[in-house]
Amino acid sequence: MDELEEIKIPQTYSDLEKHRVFDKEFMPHIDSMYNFAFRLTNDEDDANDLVQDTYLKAFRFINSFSQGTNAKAWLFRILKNSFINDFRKKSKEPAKVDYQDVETTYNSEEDAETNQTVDLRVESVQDLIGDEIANALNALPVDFRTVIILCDVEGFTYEEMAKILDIPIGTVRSRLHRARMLLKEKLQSYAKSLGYNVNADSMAD
Amino acid sequence: MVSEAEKIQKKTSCEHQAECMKMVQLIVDGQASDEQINQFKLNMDTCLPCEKGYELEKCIKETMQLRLEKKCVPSSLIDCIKQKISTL
Repeated sequence: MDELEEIKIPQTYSDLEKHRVFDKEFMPHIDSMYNFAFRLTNDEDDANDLVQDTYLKAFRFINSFSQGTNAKAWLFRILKNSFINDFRKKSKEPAKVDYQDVETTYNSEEDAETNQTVDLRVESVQDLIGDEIANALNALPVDFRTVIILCDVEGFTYEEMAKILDIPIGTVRSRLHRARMLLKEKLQSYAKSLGYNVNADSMAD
Repeated sequence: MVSEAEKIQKKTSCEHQAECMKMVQLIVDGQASDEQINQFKLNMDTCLPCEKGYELEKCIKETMQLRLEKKCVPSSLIDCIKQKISTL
């Protein structure tokens, strides 16, 4: 349970307290957890299994959780680790990975400040519907999808993301930057395929 | 003497675009300091690529927040978790 190791002072809750902490601190985040699980797995049944597994682990190791600390980040960290360590291995549908994408993106993750531009108009993004946005997000390799979900959808700070993902803040920044470049490329492809004039965004606008 | 039109003319290419886009990311993510925000606002007043870059990043972030479908957790899952917890 390395995901739970950072807690320094273990609590000892009574059975009654365990259930009270579970209901009060953990259950309010179950919708966010389910959405995160669904975005990771792209499958409702898999998301169910992942959330259930996470909540059972959280209860089992509840003494490692200090009341009043960031329960949402703690739960997200468990879910992310469960996904990587257990779930991904036994998933009935292995993650679809564009290996060229991964190779390109990982090789350049630490060099994310490279000046790249994607011609994409604000108007084109605004014209895309939810499904097209979701498809563009789902087309990203899972590590890049994850940082965008944590930051843009769930509103975690870089510091919280660093703890959830167990990576330095600098890597959070560069991974996010790279993820957004990739997302823009995917959105641009969608906008183009739908006939939007994506690169007509001249400086004369 | 610089005319008023020239004064408000924004530059159409940015020589620090990589750095500026990193700052845009910090700003849209709410991770920039007040000083960094004020400095970037001044920069946007004179630099069209930075202004457009900021608008696009802000738009994409808002789109992710607002237009991705939010799924409700099935009540059967909540029931199942509570039932299993009660037996632990």
